[in-house]
Amino acid sequence: MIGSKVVSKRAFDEMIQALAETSDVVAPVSRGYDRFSYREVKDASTLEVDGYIPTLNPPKKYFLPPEEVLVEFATEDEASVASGARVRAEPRIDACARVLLGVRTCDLKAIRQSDEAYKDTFEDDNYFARRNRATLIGLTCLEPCDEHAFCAAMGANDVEEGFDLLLTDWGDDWIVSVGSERGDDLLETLQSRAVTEDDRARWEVLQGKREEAFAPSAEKIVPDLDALPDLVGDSEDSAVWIENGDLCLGCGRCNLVCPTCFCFDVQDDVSLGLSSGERKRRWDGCTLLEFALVAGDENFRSDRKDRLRHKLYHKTRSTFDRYGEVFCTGCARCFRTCLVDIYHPEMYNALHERLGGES
Amino acid sequence: MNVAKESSALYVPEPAQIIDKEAMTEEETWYHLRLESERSLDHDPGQFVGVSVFGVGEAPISVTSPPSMKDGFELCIRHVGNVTDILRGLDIGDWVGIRGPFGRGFDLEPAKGKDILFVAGGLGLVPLRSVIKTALENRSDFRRVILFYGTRSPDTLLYEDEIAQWDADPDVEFHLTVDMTDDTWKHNVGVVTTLFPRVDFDPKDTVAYICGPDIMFRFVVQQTTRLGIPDENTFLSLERRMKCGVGKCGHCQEGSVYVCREGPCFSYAEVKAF
Repeated sequence: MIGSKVVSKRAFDEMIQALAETSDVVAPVSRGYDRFSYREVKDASTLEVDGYIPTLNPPKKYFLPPEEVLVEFATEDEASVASGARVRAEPRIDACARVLLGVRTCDLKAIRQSDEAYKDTFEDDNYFARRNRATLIGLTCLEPCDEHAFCAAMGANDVEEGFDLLLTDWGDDWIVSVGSERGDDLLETLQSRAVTEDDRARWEVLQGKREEAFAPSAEKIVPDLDALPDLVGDSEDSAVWIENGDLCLGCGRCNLVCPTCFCFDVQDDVSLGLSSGERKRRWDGCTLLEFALVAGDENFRSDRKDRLRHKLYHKTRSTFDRYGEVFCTGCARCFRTCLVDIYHPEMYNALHERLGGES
Repeated sequence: MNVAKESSALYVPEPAQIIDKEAMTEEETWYHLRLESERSLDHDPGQFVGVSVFGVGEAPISVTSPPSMKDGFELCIRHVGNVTDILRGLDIGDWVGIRGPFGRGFDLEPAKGKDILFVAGGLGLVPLRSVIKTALENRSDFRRVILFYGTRSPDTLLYEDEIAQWDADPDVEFHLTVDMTDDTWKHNVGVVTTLFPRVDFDPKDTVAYICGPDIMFRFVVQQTTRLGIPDENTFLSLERRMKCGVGKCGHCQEGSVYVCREGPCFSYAEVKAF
């Protein structure tokens, strides 16, 4: 859907420069070697870069840091913490206001989905202290970032919600969609004009070009998006898992870079004096061997094929049952980081084909 | 900037003191704990708490006392991990951290006016004890109460005093078995499923509550299914790795559920759909 306002790139850049004076502004920045990562920026120049591919780590790190302290604890009399002494425990939440600039639609979708999971039944204060202080300024891709992205197959190359502002390149201007009150307030500070009939006509042309450009991305997965939950859900004994499980190294890299992976491990770190410490959570991955291991050495998913299937099961069947959506954005970070080239679309297509589906 | 407020207590354990403890077997210790705030734990039978030994970690442990117990609560802990090994060495008067109670417990409502079958295997008696005691406190709500308890050997029996009471109670059909023993044993020998032929069931009006090691579930559920106890009247408590207790960390996922949040107690009909 076309945005409601048009603002000049220069005016927008000035707004970002002003915002950067008072809060952190981060955006995907080229790191060389065709790699991008979110870094602090002082202006909006990074919105227009050549050869963007999804950042090594998704922006989830701003809401769920790779490691964070949840609880600080200390004994009252310098006794050792694990000695049975009474321990005082206090919550810790580190948060600051932050503007995320140039967040691609795939990542906007993932953030909205992570929000769902982190407010489900028990709202996670640490996550939302940061999330609620964040301003999301999204950027629409005009074409797939590379030949691996299957965002269009996952319906993530366009979003209708989950941002404060969403920008689309409009020559010397940006077309801006407003997604929240906060976005509205930001736009208020800028000189803008309403979209015209002429803009709408140009927009239709642009959408036609985008559709064409994204066609290969949309065709990466043969079965329909809505068919994936059943496809994976009913596939327990499929040879697809055995074949890919044999390849999988169980290294967990795909989990770490996945924008919709939000599992964590919890560990205590103790000070050298042993009388205080911190309880921390750290990113964890369901493809790692220890993920489902319990005391007494029982492991509920000791095979790599079971862990691989579990990962896809959770992103399709589980999340579809719970939230009505597949939690994969097709960003293909998992593939780009995979040491043995495991590619989700190939697994979906293989499952589909073996069930007699047409390819 | 630390923006934590009083309200952000999801991950913060509350101090609790060990009021009493007793070694039950070589591997398991019973604890009576009281929260420092003296607030009642207010749990449902089958729910669990996170027990923290700060500096070492937290372990999910089922509450073994019934909700009717108001002065603190009881845990029975097997010493098989980093946290539980430290707990073994703690004494009366020592402190631990407690979060919870978490999860969905056992619901006795479907059993009202019906027969109850409890099947406990080994440490599975610990979560079941909370619901067994609750059922016995409200004995007139139910028809027969049948209780199967199986363990490895006589020296691994938990709650021996209470077992003697259940054995003597004319209102409880109690059957005990061990996998292996010597000549002095006067009860059954064999796995817990060998107890099933000893009882005449009224399967359509029986509600089963089962807890034990994963391997036991498979064989016990075969029996309940064969008898014709409906899947939706067969309840299980699952053990999984749990780090957060609030459906976030992901370790306890099974099928489409987080065992810590939707469970740990499920009907077999639900488990089959995983």
